[in-house]
Amino acid sequence: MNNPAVTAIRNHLLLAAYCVYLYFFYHLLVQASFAEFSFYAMLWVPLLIFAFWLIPVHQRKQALVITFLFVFMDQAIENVYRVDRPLFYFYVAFIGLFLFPLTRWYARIRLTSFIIVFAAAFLFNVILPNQIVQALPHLYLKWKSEPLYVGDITGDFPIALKDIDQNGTKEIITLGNADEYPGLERKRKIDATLKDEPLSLFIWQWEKGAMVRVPNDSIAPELKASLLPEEYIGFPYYVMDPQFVLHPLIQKQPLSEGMMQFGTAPFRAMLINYKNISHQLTLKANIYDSLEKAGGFTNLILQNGLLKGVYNKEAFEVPSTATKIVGSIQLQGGKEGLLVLGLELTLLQMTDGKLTATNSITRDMQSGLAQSRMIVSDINGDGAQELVVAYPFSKILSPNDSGSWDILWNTDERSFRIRDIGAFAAETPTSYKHNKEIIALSKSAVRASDISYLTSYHYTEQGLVQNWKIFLRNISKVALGDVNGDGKQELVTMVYGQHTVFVWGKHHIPVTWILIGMTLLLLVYLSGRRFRHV
Amino acid sequence: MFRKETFRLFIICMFLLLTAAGLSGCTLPTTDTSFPLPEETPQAAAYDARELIQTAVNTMNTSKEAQKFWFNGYVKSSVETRTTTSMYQGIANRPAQAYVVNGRIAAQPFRYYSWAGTKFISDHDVWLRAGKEDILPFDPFLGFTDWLPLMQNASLLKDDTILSNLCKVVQIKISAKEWVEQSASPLFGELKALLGTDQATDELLANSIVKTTLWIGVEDHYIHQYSTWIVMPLPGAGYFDQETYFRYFQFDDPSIDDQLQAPDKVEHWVNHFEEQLKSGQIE
Repeated sequence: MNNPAVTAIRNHLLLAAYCVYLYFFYHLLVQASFAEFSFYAMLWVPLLIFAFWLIPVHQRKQALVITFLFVFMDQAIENVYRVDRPLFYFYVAFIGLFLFPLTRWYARIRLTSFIIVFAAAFLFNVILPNQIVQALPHLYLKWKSEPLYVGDITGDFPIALKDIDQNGTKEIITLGNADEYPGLERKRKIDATLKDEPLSLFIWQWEKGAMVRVPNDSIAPELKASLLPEEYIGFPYYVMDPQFVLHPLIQKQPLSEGMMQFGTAPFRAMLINYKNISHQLTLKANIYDSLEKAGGFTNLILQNGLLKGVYNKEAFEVPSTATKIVGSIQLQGGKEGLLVLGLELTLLQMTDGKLTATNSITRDMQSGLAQSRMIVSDINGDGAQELVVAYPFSKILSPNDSGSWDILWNTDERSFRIRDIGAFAAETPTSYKHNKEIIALSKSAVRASDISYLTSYHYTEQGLVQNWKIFLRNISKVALGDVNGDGKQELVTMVYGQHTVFVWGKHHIPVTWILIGMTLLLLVYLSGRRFRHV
Repeated sequence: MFRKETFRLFIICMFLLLTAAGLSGCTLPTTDTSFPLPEETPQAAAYDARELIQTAVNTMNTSKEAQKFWFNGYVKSSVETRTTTSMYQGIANRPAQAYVVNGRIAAQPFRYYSWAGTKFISDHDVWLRAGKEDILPFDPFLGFTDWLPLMQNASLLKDDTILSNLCKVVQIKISAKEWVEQSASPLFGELKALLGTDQATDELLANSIVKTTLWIGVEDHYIHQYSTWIVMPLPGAGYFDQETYFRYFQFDDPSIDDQLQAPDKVEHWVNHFEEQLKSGQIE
């Protein structure tokens, strides 16, 4: 122990370990509690003052400086992470060259100590960029795609999980333009016109332990168009053709000239809408929607104001102004219904050989029905399926025999969005094993702001009980499905504006509690030392 | 003594920390158990709003004080969870046949400058000469009278105050088919011709709902604001909602002459950028 070289190595290792602890402590306890509890998380301040007070006076200044040095450097490197690579390294070097003399002068931080702290901050940012650390308390990253899009169209492209080759494992399907611009090198020229945006399909499948891109020419052309849900990117100003090219329907100058005749603006808006919709209808031979199979319903088609199909070998044809076939729903008593969405949501059932509307949700009952997404799933494990209005003003509904709906659960919080329902963490032996796991975006526990975080719930009669929550920001797309054939569902996400696909697995390590335990141990150790020295 | 107090403080801190951690994971109870009852809106007596609107348009076109103003508007379309907005904010100077607009279409910003026949457009803060085609006369209140044939049976809503101007509020709710059939707008010429001949168009328009609302000043007879909601069926995506909204304010604001300058004052910028583009300094 008295060998100075051994002592030095031991001290450096301890410092490195402290940086690792500090990284997780700062991101997963301090940042996460500010995200969840807002200003109430200021409770950390007295606790940290207390912790530093426990450190003997002659070491306190250095400990403080090392701690803040690490946190600041981590933040500084994170802030410059998104710039282009050579410039990023320049910034990182600048941060180091700026902070070293300062800390050296103020607290006599040695060069080796500084390098350890600096390297730790740098490495964590490279290994866990874009706040990925915030997912780690409950998730681990299985795979992540390269960025898929570069250009001016913001927002997200659709994503779907589908088992195209029927091998039991789902493929991940989305859009991007990384094929058109290899390495995402796209030089933007000064030009005030809106251009065609060529996109292409990106399909990956799990093969022998790795995610492999499926060549687009191996997919039948007629299948390609049906792989992704129609999401109307840039509606009504853009239309997407079957080759996935987004065409602008209007240019900035004629749009401005027209809109500045203010009274004509709604007329012009209507004309662009009409142009867009009639383009869609022409492409689809006036078919608003079709579905080959939904439960016992087959050959469903919405066309020319009629809903046609077959149920139990019995063909039906009813007038309908709906534009979307949501799907079938298993009802109480072994009955089955069909859900279609138009101006209202309608539940249709076969009664006396006729397909009749039995229950409906009107725009008065559900504000924002036009922006809604519906999921059909058995939430409470009673054998019958429920209708979930995913967003906005999420609701879990069960149709009743009197033509109305029983509200099993609802919220008046607009920012709450249900994203998918499945059995992501189903192997956990908890009370919700019979119930489906509801993956949602929900806001902080106390803050009024709409920033929302990925949260998992399960349904009980008392309400939605939280299973887990992570504080990764700006997640927009979420889908559950087994994408690697291990029989368990993976969570597939996209972050708003990043155009990168992430595949997550669920682990059951109590990361947060381990960190709290370590913090406690550290405090106990420090107090023990302090009182021995006093 | 010292030790005891420290220990107590420590216990308190830990208690707070653990409570905070324990708090997470609470249950979200349901907020309602039944649907809201539909609001009983008393059927307002039909109100003939034609004269009101005609007067308002005449006032906007002739009143000396209404010739310079600021405007702010958008067209916001919501399709399922996706919203696409185009926005228009700017200043108008009618005697000079001029306006400048800060615009945005599908998240792509631009600015457009128009002074009689001179048109500039900006892309990423670089100003360029805009095309000579696609030019329309600057007649900002054109189009409002196209609603007149439908305004005979409008509803008069409760008076409302827009930026401290008391306004009469008139509204009509019609189908898009009625709109196309009855409005006087030449823009709808082609659509009108399709009605009765093209079944898909007939259905599409008959199933679409249009609701337009105008806020007209009680004292000044100005059009202060309007909003048009269009709800239309969209293949595979339910019905979408779209609002076109514009508001006019700060009429006769003396700062407008500084904010919106004649081409001879701003053209040197465009020339400057043109040279830079030519020499390859920017591209």
